[in-house]
Amino acid sequence: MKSPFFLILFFIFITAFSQKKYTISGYIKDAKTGESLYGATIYSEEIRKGVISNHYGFYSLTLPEGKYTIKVSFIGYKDFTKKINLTHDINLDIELEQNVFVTKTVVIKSENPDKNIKEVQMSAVRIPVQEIKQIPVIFGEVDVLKTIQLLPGVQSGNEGSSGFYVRGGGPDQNLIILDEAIVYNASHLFGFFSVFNGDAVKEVKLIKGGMPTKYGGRLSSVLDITMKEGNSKEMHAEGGIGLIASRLTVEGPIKKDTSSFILSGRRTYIDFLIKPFISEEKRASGMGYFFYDFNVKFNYKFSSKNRIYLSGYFGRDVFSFTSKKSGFESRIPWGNATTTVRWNHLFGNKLFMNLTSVFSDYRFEMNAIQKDFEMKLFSGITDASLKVDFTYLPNIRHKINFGGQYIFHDFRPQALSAKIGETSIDISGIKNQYANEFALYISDDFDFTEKLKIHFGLRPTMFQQIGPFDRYIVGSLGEVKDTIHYGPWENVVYYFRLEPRFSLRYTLNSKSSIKASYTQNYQYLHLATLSSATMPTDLWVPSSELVKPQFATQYAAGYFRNFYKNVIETSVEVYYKKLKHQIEYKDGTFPGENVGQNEDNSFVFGEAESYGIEFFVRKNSGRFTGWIGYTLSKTTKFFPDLNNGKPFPAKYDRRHDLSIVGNYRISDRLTASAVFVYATGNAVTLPIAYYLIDYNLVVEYMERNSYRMEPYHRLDLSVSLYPKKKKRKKFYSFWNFSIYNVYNHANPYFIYFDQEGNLYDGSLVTKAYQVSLFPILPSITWNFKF
Amino acid sequence: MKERSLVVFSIIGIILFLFGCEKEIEVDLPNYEPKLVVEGYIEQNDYPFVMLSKSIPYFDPVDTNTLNNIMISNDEATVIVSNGEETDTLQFISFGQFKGFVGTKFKGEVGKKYSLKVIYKNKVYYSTTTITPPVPIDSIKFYPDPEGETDTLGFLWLYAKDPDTLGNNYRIFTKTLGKDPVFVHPRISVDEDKYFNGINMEFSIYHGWNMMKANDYDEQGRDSLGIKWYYFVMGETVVIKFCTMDRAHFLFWRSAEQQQNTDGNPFASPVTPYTNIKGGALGVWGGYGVYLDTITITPDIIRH
Repeated sequence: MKSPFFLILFFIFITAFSQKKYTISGYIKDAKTGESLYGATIYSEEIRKGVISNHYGFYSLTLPEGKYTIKVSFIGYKDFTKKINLTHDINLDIELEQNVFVTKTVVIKSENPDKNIKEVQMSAVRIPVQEIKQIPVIFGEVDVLKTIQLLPGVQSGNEGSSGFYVRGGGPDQNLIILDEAIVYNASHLFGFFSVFNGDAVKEVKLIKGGMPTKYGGRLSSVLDITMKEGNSKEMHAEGGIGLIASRLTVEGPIKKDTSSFILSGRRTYIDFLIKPFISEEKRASGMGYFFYDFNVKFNYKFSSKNRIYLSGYFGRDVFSFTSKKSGFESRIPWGNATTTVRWNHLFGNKLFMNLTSVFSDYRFEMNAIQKDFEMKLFSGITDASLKVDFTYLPNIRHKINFGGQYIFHDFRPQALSAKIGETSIDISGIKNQYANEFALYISDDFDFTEKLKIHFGLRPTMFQQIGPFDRYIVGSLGEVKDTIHYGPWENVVYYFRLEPRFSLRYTLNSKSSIKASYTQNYQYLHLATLSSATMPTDLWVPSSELVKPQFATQYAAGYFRNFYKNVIETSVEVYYKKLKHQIEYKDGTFPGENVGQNEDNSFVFGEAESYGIEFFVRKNSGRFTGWIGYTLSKTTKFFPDLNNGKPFPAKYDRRHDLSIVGNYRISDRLTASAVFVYATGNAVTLPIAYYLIDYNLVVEYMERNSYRMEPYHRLDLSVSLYPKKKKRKKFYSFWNFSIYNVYNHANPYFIYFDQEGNLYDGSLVTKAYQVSLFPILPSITWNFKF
Repeated sequence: MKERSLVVFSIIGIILFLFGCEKEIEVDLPNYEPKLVVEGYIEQNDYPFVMLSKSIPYFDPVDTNTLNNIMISNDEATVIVSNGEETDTLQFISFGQFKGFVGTKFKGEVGKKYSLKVIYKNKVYYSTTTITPPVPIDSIKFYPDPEGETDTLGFLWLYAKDPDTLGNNYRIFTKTLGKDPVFVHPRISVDEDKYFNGINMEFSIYHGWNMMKANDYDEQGRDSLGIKWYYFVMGETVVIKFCTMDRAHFLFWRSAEQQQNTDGNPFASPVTPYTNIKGGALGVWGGYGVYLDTITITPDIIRH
């Protein structure tokens, strides 16, 4: 386990004794908006070697003394070339001009053309938000997570749900980060919409395998969402009015080129739309539902070496129910709040530091009042964390990343307070659980030879649950036999784990390469879900004495090849993933069974295994852009205490998963897009027989998840209509028309059974019904910009 | 907790109401070989009683012969019960549409263990159960439904003390004289003392639904006098049967009743009820400790 450290030290040592070298460093920005550009290539034409700008647009290129032609390129932007005489360290901030031929309506791919072949990272896709905005979506609401689901190896859950499953992993195994802050529940309205507002997002990056050491704490994937920084040159606003929601974004400089801000918000009005459909007498008439969210970001550049970012997200879903007749009133809000403060600092010109402090909170609340009875129920998770990341670029062959992270977790599994008249009961706080999570990491991206590049690193992680805490020891009847008390800060349980990571890329020729990776991950948080859908009521629970940290090992290998001068990129990847210490509720557990107890007493533990092959073809430039992704995979779970100890398919085990995404620019004014998806049906458990007990009919179910619903398939289309180029002045607007489920296919949402009549007189009839959620749904959105 | 899921289902309900559609489908289930279903009891001071039947593949068509076809008689099966000292091969009886096996040699006694052996189609199925000590009911009250039409309709409130030892499991039945031919029970009729061990219990019950008398009620569930099925009525004489049972017997009833209550909820986790029959059968073999009490509902026992 120690060897990677020694290797790294060894390489650093070597570089220290090389010949006289100087460094060119600085930031790459968009000349028009001032947004930093991530993924631009900065290279020397003489030696044909270069580096790529980081998340914050920073680059550092160290070369031997001499004369160079430095070229900076980034798709969608004009190349920048400069001759320099490298006799001393140079600070060079570069502003790239957007390519005039590329209008906003065309998909802009923000990567250098052969990056997919050259970089060591595999199983990763970056999607700029412009591309996400082209894709037709339900109700015309741009949705980051639903675009992610169209990639190979990523599966959606139920119809319309924004929950996603990566290579057989659960929805809790995705590290979803918005500007470095962890987002715990990434969906609104039970998964129908994601919490990310497309107008505030700059870029989305998904890593489903070969996870770099920089990331951790989740087993299956990283979804890294970067917010826009705000235009540092001039004020702009954009927004849209859609069928169910409206949104508005304002951005601009506070002080030109030094500081800028962006402010973005949206709110739905489903509640107003539904009202007329529900008659006054119906129980539902007192119901209301809406969600809203805000994104704020501010940045300030003190000097060329220091920059500060402040960003925040606040979102809430609110469901309310009032019954005037019985005097019952309830209000149920839930959602996330995050704030991030970041400081970028440059030590010298080779060592870049990013210091982040994050506060993140997810809560679910339920308030109910009836006459003199008041009740409040809440659950959630609050995190405070501090993280430091360093990028050290000693020379052109190495990129060393290292850093650490500390998170303080506060879990509120389920708390309740009630008031009846003057008497109040409060059991909130007593079951809160507290934990420290700590991680360190180091890795090196190293050009071993011209052809072989490796990423290797190690991530030691530590998790400690601390008091105050009460552990209830439960007997065979589920009764509390004993209680162990832990005082404040007292150690309850402690885990220390090492996560080695390794990836390599071997270049076959200028058009193709092969890559492979091996990763180990631990996860100290677990999502306990009783129902089959992603719900706001799902509980996050920490690892404990009973619940061991989740563990995953993944092996992946792939072949990458580009055609027609990188216009078409293709890849084939295979993976094998083993998951250990997975949790499920015991069979027959019902909600609330553990009130006043430890939630983990009702879990059972097991393993999962997933393997598959993924094909991906993507065309990035030209009038026609898009991709085809196909996955053939199998995911099996094994729990000794479920399904009589027999292995069973995971609910979202998909043998086949196909997505086709196409965008076509018909003219400067008109673009058309289409999405087609096909997926194997979900695995469900259905009744297989019934029997008579106590003169009633009781159902016997088949083996767990042994029935397949019908395959899911759907076609969506959309058209965007822009004004004439000449008319695109300060203010312009454009229309988006989209149709969801064009051929109105009744996709299965669930199956239910109806038994009518009576067994005693022989009139019993059993029928099966398949319920589908969304039929053909046209929508229209009006967008504006100034 | 129930309320929380209610919210979720309400919202999904609204979405389904606005956009959803449903169609009848053919479900192609795997082949299924019907299993033996055992429903057997031994009550304190009563002879053992066992009914045997076969499970029915979910979509098999049902006709007037179905019930007869699934009931198993002594031609096909032998039922033997032992109390550890004596063995009794149960006698076959047939009552109405139903068939059963009843003991003749010994009655159930508190604290004793009873084993069951069923021989059916050359296969042997086993189970054991115990009769747990009964727990007395201290008092019974009548609580008129505050939302009800008159104060003569309401529910019964029972008071009892749970024994100090943990692991007492209860089941409640009632029989209104002149109305119920058999004992009936509320939809949820079992509970355990996990949360109320050793303390005074206080719980309410409503009149259970009687499958056999379903035709006596109209669509709103009212009988010929206009009284809803779930009420106890002033003037009625009610026999209360308060039973205790062992863990396995309780687990069977809890899982069976839970299934009945989540019936039709597509988001609930589908679970076949627990069984304590070994050898691949379904159902239960259960002993009951029994406390019986009879009360006539008068204004004197009203709970205010």
